[in-house]
Amino acid sequence: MPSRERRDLARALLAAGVLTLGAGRPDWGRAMMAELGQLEGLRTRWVFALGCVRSIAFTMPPAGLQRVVAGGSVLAAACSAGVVAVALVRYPDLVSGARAWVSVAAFIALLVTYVVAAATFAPRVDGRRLLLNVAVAGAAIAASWMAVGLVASLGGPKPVSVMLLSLAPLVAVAIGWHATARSGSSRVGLACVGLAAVIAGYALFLLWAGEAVAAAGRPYDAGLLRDFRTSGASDLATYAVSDSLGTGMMLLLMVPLVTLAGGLVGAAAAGTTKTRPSSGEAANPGEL
Amino acid sequence: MQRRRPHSVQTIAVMRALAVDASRWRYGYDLCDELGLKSGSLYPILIRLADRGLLASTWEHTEPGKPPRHLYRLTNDGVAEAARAGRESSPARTRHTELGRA
Repeated sequence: MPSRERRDLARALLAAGVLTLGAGRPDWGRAMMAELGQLEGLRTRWVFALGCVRSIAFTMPPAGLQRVVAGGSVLAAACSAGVVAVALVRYPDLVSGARAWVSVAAFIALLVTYVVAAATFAPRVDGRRLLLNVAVAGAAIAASWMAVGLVASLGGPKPVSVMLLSLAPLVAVAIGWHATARSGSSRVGLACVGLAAVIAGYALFLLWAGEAVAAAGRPYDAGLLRDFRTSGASDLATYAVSDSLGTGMMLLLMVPLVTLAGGLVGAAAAGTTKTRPSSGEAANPGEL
Repeated sequence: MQRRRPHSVQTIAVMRALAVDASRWRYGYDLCDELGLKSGSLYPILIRLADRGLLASTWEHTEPGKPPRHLYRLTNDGVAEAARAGRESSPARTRHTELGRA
C-alpha cells in the first residue's frame, strides 16, 4: 500500500473521531486535523491520530454537558408530569379533594428539585466516561429496586428480596468511591452520586407509574382488593392507580435519599484512602 | 467537603512550558514533542486550561491552500496559575524526565 494512502487512513480515522465531537468542540477537532496535516512520518502521524482519537473517546471534556444533562432532566420531568396528567384525565376520581391537590403540588415540587439538582451536579461530572459510569450506576440502582418489587409481587423468597435490596446502596457506595477516587475530589464524587440518584429516581418513577397507568393498576393482588373494600373508593382501577402513584412518589423521594447516603459513605471512604500519585507516576491525563 | 483539585504533573509541565515565554504562541505538536506527551494527553489538558480561562488560543495566518494551525499561550490568569502551581509542587514532581510517555 502506498505511503500516501496510509497517511490518508490516519487522517480519515481522526476525521471520523472529530465528527463525533459534534457541535461542542469544533475548533479543537479542526486544530487536531490541522496539526496532523503538518506532521511527517508514518509512525508519527499514526501515533498522533490515535492519541487524538483516544482523547476524543475517553478524556475529552465534553462541552455543553450542563445543557445536555439539564435538557435530559427537564425531558424526564416532563414525561413524569405527563404520566400523572394522563392518570388524572383517565381517572378523574383521583382528584377527590384538597388532599389530592396537595399531593400534586408536592409532586411538582419534587420534579423541580430533580431538575435543579441535575443542573447543579452536571457541571461537576467531568468527562464522558465518568458520566457514562454515573448513568450505568443510576440504571443499576433503578434496576435493583425494580427487581425487589418484581420478586415481592411474584411472592419470591425473602432472602432474594433482601439481597436485591442491599444491591442499590452498594452500587451507590461504589459510584461514590469510584468518582471520588478517579477525580481526586469529594465534590465531584458527591455530584456523581447526586446525578446517579436523579437518574435512578426518574427511571423508577417512569417505569412504576407509567406501567400502573398503562395497565390500570393491574395485577390486583389480595391485599389491594382487601384495602379497596374498606377504602370507600368508587372503582378498583382508580384505587389501584392512586396506590401505585403514591408508591411512585415515595420512590421518587426515597431512592435519592438512600443513594445519597450510600454515596456519601463511598466518597468518604475514597477520601480517606486516596493517595496522590508519587513523583514517578503519570497522573490521569484527564485531570487538571 | 470541597477541596482544591490539584493540577496533574502533566498539566503543570504544560503550564511551565508555556510560561517560559508567555508571549509566544505555541503549536500543539511542539508541546507534545518538548514534553514527551502524547496528543491524547495534551489536548484534554489544553481544553481544560482553555475552559478555565487559563489558556488563549488563536488560528495561525497561513498562505492560501495551507490549513491554518491552532496556537496556544497562557492568559494572564494562566501565567499566575502556572507560577502558583510551580510554587506548590516540588521540583521533583514536575521534572520532564519523570513525565514518561503518557
